Amino acid sequence: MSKEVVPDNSCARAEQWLPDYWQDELRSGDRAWLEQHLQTCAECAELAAFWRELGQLPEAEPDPRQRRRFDAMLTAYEATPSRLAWTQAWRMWLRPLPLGLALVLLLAGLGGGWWLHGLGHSAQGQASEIAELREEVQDTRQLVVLSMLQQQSANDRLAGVSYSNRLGPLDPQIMQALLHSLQYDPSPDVRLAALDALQHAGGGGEAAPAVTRGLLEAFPYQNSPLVQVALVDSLLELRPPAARALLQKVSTDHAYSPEVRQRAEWGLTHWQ
Amino acid sequence: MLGAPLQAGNGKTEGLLPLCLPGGCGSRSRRAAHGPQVIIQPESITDDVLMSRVRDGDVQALAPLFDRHHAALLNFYLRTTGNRASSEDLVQDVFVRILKYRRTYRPGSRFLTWMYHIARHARVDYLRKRHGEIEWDDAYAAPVLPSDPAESAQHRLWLALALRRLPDDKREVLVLSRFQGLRYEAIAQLLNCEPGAVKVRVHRAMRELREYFHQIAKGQIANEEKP
Repeated sequence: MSKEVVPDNSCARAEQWLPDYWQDELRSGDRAWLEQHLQTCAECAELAAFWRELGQLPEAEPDPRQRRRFDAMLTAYEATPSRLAWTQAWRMWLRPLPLGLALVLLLAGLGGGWWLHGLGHSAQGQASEIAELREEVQDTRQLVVLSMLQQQSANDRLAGVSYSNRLGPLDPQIMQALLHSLQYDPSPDVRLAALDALQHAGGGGEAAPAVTRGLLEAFPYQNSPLVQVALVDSLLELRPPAARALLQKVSTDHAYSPEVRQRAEWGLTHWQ
Repeated sequence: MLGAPLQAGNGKTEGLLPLCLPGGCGSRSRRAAHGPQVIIQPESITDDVLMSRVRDGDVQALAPLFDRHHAALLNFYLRTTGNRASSEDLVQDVFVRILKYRRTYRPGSRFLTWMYHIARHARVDYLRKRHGEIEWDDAYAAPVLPSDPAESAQHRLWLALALRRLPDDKREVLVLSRFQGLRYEAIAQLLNCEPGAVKVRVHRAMRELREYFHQIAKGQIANEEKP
């Protein structure tokens, strides 16, 4: 650590040392000097008093319900047996597409380039061709996502959901596929990822009403407390009017686990 | 008298702290990570040991960590966002993220620094989602106790107003050092700079806060005026 320059001016030195003083990091000699200075300099003493006052502000007490909310989260987390480790999920994000799909994309890109090169030369024509090409690539990507969501392996389906996040605005077909995954996919991880993707892509856009309707419809199909809790959170975030009645029902329905009921109850208390 | 300086971590740093606080984790947290139940003396369990267990799959070991740190986290968020509901959501989010990213924790490292690293990111994401718009309530930034004399209550209010006016980065470094009791070295790790640079930032933040405080006290800035 670089050696600090100690100012010659006593007040400047005191001001510089106060942060160390309050963290008990001053050497005893410097500390004694500072305390002596504060007794003789009214301005520095006032500054020190300000520091002290700041450190003595009372702390707010947490709401006991926060602990219950934490317990519900922890129980829901444990109740999901096949939850993927973060590192695994992250690897999946970085995992390359299956070879066949990568080839499809590559061929689409090459074909598009050749097509673009061979057609019209005017700037206006090129612009519209580029737009068409982009649309084709986007369509191809959507096909890739739809195909991956149909795969046998949960990892492939999860990769498909992750890939859908990169498509930009939520396409109605992709939205339907994600909603289908949210309702029927056997893996809670895929359902959770689909929920995240739907909320991320459709939360504030044109698709928002359809997404919120889909989330409400998906609720009764869930059997994993973790997904149910996540759905409660998403509904609380999006706040469709119909969700309130659903949360009220869930909070009192003993068919749901206690942690889900508590979460729904908590959601109702935070509903504005 | 000047009074005693802050002890390391304001009494809340990692180390030999009680395993469970009142209303806390109960017997679950005393459960060994694997195999038969083992009673472990609470004072022998550090944050690092608990977090290492969480990392290895014993997620119930997160409960005592919640008991130890959620109040401090709540106050960190209250003083940096001035909003109770947002602060409670953020505290919950931090512990969800701890579970999510538990495998990135390196046993032997400082849990508190790692936790505040997560807490800062959670706050940035939260603000971004809401386009930086969170309703600030002065009563949460610097609460007044019913037993406070009128003069102290007035000072607290001015302090809260001054804190609100402080730029976000300065408010954060001040809160971390003066309220949360983080050492400058730990803050330097969080902010990716030298401890000396942190001291300078704290020093400048404090100077600016004091200026605002005096301006508010003298009526040069209206109480309700927003920055």
